[in-house]
Amino acid sequence: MHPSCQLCHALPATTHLTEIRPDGGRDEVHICATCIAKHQLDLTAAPPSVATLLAFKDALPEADDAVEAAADDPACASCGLVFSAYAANNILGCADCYTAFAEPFALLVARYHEASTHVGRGPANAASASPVTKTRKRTSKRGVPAINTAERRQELEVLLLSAVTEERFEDAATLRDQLRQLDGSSSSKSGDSA
Amino acid sequence: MSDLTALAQRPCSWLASPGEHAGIVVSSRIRLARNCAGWAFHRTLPKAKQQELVNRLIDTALRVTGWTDATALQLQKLNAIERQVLVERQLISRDLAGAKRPAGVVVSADETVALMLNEEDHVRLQVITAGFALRENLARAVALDRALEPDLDWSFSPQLGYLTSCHTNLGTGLRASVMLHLPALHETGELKQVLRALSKLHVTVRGQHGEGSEAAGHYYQVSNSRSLGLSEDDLVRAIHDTAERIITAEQLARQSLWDAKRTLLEDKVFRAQGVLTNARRLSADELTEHLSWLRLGLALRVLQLHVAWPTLDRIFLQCQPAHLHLSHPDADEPDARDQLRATLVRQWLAA
Repeated sequence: MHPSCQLCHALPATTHLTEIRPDGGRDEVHICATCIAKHQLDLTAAPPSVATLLAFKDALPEADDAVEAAADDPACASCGLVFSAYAANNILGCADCYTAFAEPFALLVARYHEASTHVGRGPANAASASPVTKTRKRTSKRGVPAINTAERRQELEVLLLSAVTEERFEDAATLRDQLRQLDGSSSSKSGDSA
Repeated sequence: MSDLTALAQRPCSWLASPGEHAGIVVSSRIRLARNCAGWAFHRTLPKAKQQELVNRLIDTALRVTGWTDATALQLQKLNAIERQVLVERQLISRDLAGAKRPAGVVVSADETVALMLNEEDHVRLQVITAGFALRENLARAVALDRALEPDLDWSFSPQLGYLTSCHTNLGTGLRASVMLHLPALHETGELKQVLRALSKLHVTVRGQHGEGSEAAGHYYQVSNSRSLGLSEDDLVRAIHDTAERIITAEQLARQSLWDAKRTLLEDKVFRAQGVLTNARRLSADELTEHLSWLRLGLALRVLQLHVAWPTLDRIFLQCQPAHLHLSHPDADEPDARDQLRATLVRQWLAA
């Protein structure tokens, strides 16, 4: 579905060029939008040859080695997918593949996201040490002046749903009242809709 | 009348021009990618299990949301035209429309919320509205995500965040996007520079229908390319700020056209008006191109048409190929549709 870019090996390719050789054979190259911009490639007026394009291939000995090594590894124990099959279209077999192919994924993830650890929300029932708690604490420490009405409403709506699903009805009632107060004060200030 | 035929005849709530910034910002979309723990992704999940999963997801979505007037569809029961109607209304992706596996979609009555089921991930939850509303849409998406979570038990790792079928969506699973109409940046040739600068900011710019689509009619989707390592709020803030910069660039380009190339601008707009009010045959691409200039003409008050923005939105939506085909099944040949399209555009612009 999403062949990887042949230049950076990390992003899904969005541009696909096919070159017909004099002997009738075909050469193909798949490139992502980021690499096209990065190398300032003009693929419409005068597209370079496939060989020229592949000369822009990033030197990634670590990633390439990891991919090669993973291809020799046993398949994911849960779904049977081998890593080389993932590299072909960037669709995994199951969530356990992330554990089965932890080493190459550490490289791919770090390269694509320039990060290796999640810092956003998580399920309400995740462990107490989950990043959800940390994020919420950090948000509240930023201080009231930084939080506008929309952000406050968002926070309250999330907390209200969590309270309802966890059957903490007293908390839910308090949060509902706070939301009503917020709605009342924002509608009296302006006519903006939520 | 089928669910789809009724749906196709309604206006789209995410299309309500001119919106903010004189029609530059068309819509804002938040998408969350989620997968159910204990279920393989579609690539290795047997078809019977995929169908079981889709059924379960539809039942859960309808029960949890309490939507009584929602549209819930099994995609394998739809033909290619009906699927394409959903793509044109931005309710499913082009990938999902072409999928042969069991898949579904649940859409709220106002079409601002859609759940794509068994797409690349088990659930792709989207909130899409007209104008510049990323923060508000994130709040709604998070609230629905939280409501679904107890029943569906999302696959999550403290290290990698929400586990998705492709590593490019890991972490928050969030894609925040704003659809912008940028005819002036395109005309002045400054768009390439802007796009080149954006590629360094982990921002992706694509055509109207997302991945792989062309920017027909000068519509561009600006979205985050990475989803791990930043919180949802930070990702949304970054796209909001980036979109604001592009909006400013488009406003400057419009001013530049107005000041230095007024004749060229007027020529483009009046030619578009001339074609749309007189043509007897109009292809979808031709209409999209001319409609774009008409939008700009209306925004800059180059022309004083006796038409309202909703008329342009109606033409934009209802004259797309699948919408036209579904509402006028007798126009089953491209040439017949081109004639019908031209007739409808003339009628609606004259009304």
